Amino acid sequence: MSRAPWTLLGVALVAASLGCGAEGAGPRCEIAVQFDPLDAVAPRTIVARSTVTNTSGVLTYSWSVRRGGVEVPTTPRTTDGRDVEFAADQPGVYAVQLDVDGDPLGCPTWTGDKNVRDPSTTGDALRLRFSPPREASVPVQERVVNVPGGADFATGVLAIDPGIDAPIAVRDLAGAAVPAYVRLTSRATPDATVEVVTSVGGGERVPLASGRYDALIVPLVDGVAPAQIDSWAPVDGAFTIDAGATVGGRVLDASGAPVAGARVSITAAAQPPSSVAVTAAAGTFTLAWRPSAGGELIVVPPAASGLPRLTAALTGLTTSQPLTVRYQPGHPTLELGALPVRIAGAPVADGHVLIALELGDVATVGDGASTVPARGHHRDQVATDAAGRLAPYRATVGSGRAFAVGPTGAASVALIDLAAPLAGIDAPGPAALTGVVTDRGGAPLAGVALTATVDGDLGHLGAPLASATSGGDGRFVLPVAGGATYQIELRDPRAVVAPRLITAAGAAGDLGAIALPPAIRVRGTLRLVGQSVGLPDVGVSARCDACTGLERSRPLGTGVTDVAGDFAVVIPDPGAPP
Amino acid sequence: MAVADMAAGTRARDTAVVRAAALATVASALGGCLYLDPINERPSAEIRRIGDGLIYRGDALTFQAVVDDPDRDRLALDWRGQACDRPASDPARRCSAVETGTDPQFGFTVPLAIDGAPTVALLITLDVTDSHGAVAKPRQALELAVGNHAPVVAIQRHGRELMGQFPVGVPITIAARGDDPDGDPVALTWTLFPAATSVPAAVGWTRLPDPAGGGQEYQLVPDVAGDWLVRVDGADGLETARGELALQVRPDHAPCLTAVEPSVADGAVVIATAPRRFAVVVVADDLDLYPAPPPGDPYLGAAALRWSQRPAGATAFTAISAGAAVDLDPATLAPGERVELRVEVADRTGRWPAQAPSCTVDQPSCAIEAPASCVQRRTWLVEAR
Repeated sequence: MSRAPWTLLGVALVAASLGCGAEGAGPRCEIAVQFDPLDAVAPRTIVARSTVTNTSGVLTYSWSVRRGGVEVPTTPRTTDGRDVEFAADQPGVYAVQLDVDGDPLGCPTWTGDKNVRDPSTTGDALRLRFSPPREASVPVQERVVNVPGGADFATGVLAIDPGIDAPIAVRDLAGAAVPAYVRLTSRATPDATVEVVTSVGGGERVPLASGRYDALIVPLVDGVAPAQIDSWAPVDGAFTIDAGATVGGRVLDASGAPVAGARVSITAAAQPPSSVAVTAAAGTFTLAWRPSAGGELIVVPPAASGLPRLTAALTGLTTSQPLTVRYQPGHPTLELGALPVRIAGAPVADGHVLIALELGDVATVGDGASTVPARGHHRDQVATDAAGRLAPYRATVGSGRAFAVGPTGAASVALIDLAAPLAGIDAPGPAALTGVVTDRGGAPLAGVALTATVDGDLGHLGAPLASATSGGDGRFVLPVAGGATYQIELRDPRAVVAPRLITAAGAAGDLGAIALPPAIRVRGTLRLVGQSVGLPDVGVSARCDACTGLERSRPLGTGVTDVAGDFAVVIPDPGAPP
Repeated sequence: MAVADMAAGTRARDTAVVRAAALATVASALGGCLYLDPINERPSAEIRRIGDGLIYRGDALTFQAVVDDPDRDRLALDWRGQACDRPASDPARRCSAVETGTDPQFGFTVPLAIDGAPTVALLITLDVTDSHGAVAKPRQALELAVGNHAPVVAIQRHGRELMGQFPVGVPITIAARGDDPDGDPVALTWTLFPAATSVPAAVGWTRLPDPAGGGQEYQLVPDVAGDWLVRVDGADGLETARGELALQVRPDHAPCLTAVEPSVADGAVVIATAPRRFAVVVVADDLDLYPAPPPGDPYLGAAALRWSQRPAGATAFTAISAGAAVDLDPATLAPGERVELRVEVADRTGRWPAQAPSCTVDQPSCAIEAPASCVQRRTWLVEAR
């Protein structure tokens, strides 16, 4: 068949569809609502004024105002009802809806929230972190929101940057691709980092929000030094790094013999670390580093040596000179392998022990002209066999603690002193942390989930969590390892009250009454910039803006956006007294 | 004549004239003077319905009397409307008076029921009597059939429905209501057609208390995946209607680790220069979620998470935690030392990737079932610096 008729048909269909598209085109009815006052404090009469554009004819206005699902009466301020007022007697979120009838093509329903503050409380800055699903290829982003206390709060629609697909490449001075770990920290929201590993072949791309980034680059090959490149943007292209400065030296034991196989590196707060060197048979090492103030030399000898890990501040040393790390005499090592490990007399079979020994200054680091002390410590995880005996392990003589963990999670802490003959590591039976969970009014709270995480020097990946749920009288019993420090998170799954994090040092005993702070709900809608529909399945976490360290990354409340992009997170009321 | 039936009236008038003439002729022939006492003639009547169409219960009906009296006498009308529970052919039928009337127009509303039985027929009679007592004959009677509106069955489902599908073993509430335009009570009959592989003893099929808004509710707990059908027949005593609800029951999908932090390519190196947190941010699933739903949800639960680690050189992963996040302090490792940190998720079915044949221990991420983009395992290769 000739193609001409089909072509003609196609042209006709296109023309028809164009005709359909043209029909009804033009500006459609739009509704805007303004509230007076902008910053409302309860009790207050709120005036809502509507403006309807791109319409004609006589319109009718139907308002609905709700707070906490309860209808709030409105009073017309104009004869046609286009403006209304309502009494905001209580602080909180007033959900307002306006339906306008009479437009020939129909007006969309307008919905919005009006926050009304509590006059008796203050607010706080909150970081809202948005973690889109990986498939969305949208970068993690944060927004800082000032949340007034005393009542729920609506953020309204928050639009996040869909990001651009940015190429990431690391090259050396010769232009060759360098396999490297790259961490991009947004200068606008420093906690929203993007991490990627480049390869020799290159071609890595990551979604990035607009703006500039500080980049930490850690090469995964020798010959180039980790680097920090500030205020980078994708338009700047590939990262170029060089070999940095060379820091060399050797590691010697107390007898002056070289220590082979020790890992050596330099770290400095807020600065890129050095490369990692492993000492050669002669105890020598060579590091690539970008010298900065506050550097600390770290030496980790091979486990079999029994030598402790060293940390030495480099202040006062010339790192361009060869450094000599020398363990001092008078710190003998002891083989602890096959030592029985018991909890309440029962062998810790197929478990492990974290041995933490603080040894003080056990070594020196010198540059030929000056010498600084190096602190030594052990923080080693050693397995136990089926009979509950310690695997081969040598440690420097000192005192400290042993955190014994059985395969089922039973744990206990024993004090150890290697200076005295040691027949075994005997830890007491598991202890218990008890207490009562209440609200701020002292009423006991049932069903609160408690999760205790080992903190401090005994914290490690294998440390078991302890968990419990408060009973009807608010009481709880947390099985813990006596002597360990725990961070305990208390979270009400019903979100009636807000979660709380407390630290129980030297845990055991009764913590008394633990009052959980009142909660407020922060809700909003998440969209991508340029989109009118919500972004679903995005993790939303509220985080403290004033915190530092790990606290900064611990969420106060979590949620996830629904199909409409709506989210709600429950957080401690920032207006409640601490 | 109130409403002219011209042809009939003309015929009646002609007949009367002929009769009078005959009488006069006979009288004349007999001789003497002729005295003619006027003869009263009986009126005629007919019932005419105003409006047309099928008649249903609740309808308002109006009838018009079409009457005539040759003598122009005043006529008295006597309407009687009755509703019957059976057609005239049924000798057992019972009729009950609905309305009476004396006006030329007669109206009433068709009653819904006669002594509890639906109205199926109407009998309207009209007696017309003139001022001399003559009654129109034959008696006017109109028999009308009353139609029945079939009931309507509405059937709906409520439950944990995702993309039109329901998971196995999770309650589905099915609500049905029978509505009848005639106001008849509708009796519902429920029939469940399970999926082909279903075992009857394993199916939960329980009648729930009737909802306040009317109708009935059943709770179905399907035991197997497949296509299920719920049929509800509604009967108003005269007719039936049927509602059917197809239910696609599918196996519980494996949960997806939708968002984790840090978000890097699976198995890629993550440098830890300071204590940092590795966390599950979102688990998407048909039933078991993270963040966990509030307690008391009839369908939803919390996803189960397991963390494990594998130091460099080790062959097996060691369990470390069951929470949503793990904090890792690089100070517990030697500089440059690497450890694999792994999180796995399972729903209430307890299908862990570590136990799935399709997931070998060295796969940094894997899916125990299609789609491959929905993974139940994520692994970070953490290097301490």
